[in-house]
Amino acid sequence: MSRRRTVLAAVAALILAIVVAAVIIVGVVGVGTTVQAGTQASVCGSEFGVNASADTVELLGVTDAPLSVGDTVRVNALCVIEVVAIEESGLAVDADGAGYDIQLRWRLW
Amino acid sequence: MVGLPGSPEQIQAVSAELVRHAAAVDEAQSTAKGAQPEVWRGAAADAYTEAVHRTLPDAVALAERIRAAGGTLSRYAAALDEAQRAYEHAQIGFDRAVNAIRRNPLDVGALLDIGATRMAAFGAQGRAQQAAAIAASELRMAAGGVAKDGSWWNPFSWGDDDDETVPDKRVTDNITDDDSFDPDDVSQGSIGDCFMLSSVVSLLDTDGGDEFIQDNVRWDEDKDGYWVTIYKNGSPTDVFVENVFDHGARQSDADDGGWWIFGGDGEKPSIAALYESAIREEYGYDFIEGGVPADAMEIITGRQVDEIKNDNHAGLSTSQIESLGDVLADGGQVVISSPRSGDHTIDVTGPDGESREIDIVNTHSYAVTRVESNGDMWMRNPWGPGNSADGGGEFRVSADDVGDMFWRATSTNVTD
Repeated sequence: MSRRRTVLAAVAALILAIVVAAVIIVGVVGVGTTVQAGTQASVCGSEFGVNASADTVELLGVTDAPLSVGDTVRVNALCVIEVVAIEESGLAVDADGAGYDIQLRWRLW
Repeated sequence: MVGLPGSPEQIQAVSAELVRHAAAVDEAQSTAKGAQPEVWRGAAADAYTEAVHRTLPDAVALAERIRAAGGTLSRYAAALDEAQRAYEHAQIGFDRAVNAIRRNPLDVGALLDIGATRMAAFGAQGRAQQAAAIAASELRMAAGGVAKDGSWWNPFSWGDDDDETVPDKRVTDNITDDDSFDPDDVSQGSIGDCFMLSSVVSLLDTDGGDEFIQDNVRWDEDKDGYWVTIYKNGSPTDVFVENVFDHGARQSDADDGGWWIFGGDGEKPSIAALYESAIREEYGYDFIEGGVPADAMEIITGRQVDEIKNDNHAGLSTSQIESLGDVLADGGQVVISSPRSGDHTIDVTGPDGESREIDIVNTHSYAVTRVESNGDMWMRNPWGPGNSADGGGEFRVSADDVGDMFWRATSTNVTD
């Protein structure tokens, strides 16, 4: 019987560890994602337009303020997005669409 | 009892066949190498020798790749066999535990066994999945592609990212129903293909364009998919489309009839999504991720495409804008390109006469629908209705703003 208790305790500890890890990842570390300028992206349940310049990005529908790398904005009650990087996608300057790759990280707060 | 899918015996048989093929290629290249008679001289002999030297390295590489693929399949067959046995063993234990619970619902030991056998079954499933991922990666490399990381133990595929460069949403016959031929029936997704979608929007804005699309996009009842005609260097090429991108163009005011809980996402793909898949099929995914509108317009229409622009990315001149009005008056299609950078918030007017403030999206293509006599231009954003930049629908941009910001126009006429 004590072996079974040990197994149950181990399972409970495992579940607790997974929950704690999930809360740390989603709540503190954040989940990275890349969206492209000139598109309508969907991140953590919110859809917004992505309009970028060389060093700023607007998440249209969320805020009209241009965001720089390091800026954060709350897109819904359970999600804050941070701009991690704005990188040229390498397309020719004459090309329309996907001019910049925007690295974002979302988390709960 | 449902076990893990796949037949190790059949995979092993295919592996053996590949090894035989590799040996056949070895033999063929050995024969070709040996067939260089010393007494043979002249132009034909030289050409033969040159061809042999050019071809043999490829033959050697081919044999190696086929042999590597055979080895991969052999290892995969062994791993799958082991996983299937483990899964079967776990399933037998699970059934036994379930029967014990039925006899005695308070049998805690049997309850724990259920959990343990389920975990063992998931483990076997995960090993099979990982073996399949490794095999797929090795086969991709053997075929000259790029390897992808094998997946970790993940029986439910939680958190797995689909390959977004491959369309995987099955098409249905209602994508081209009567409600779909409206310029508002294009709502761009998260693919950067505005330069392509704007051409489709401009086609959908005219009767001639509607007819053109009806001629070039056809449902195949027998094959459950669409034939999409695109034009490579002006020559029509029929591409069969059975899947579209999940994150591609959709109709904003329609749903696909699928229940979310059963895998439907409530969004009906747009006709433009069929073009996304067809062009990706012929030109690759990178082609649709940003590009020049003239390239897309030529591929979609097969017609001569004209481009007027200011190389310094300054706005179009009054005469250039007037010429676009002539194209549209003749039933043509026009796409216009926005500024490369900066923050552009302007006032526009809707069809109801109401003025509103909108954002012009940088490095973006818009479909032009009308040009007024004073140079004001009506246009649509391929982001579609309700979008966060301009709210969607047709809007009128003043001639001054057009002259300030929009630097390139691309046009054709499918009714010519």
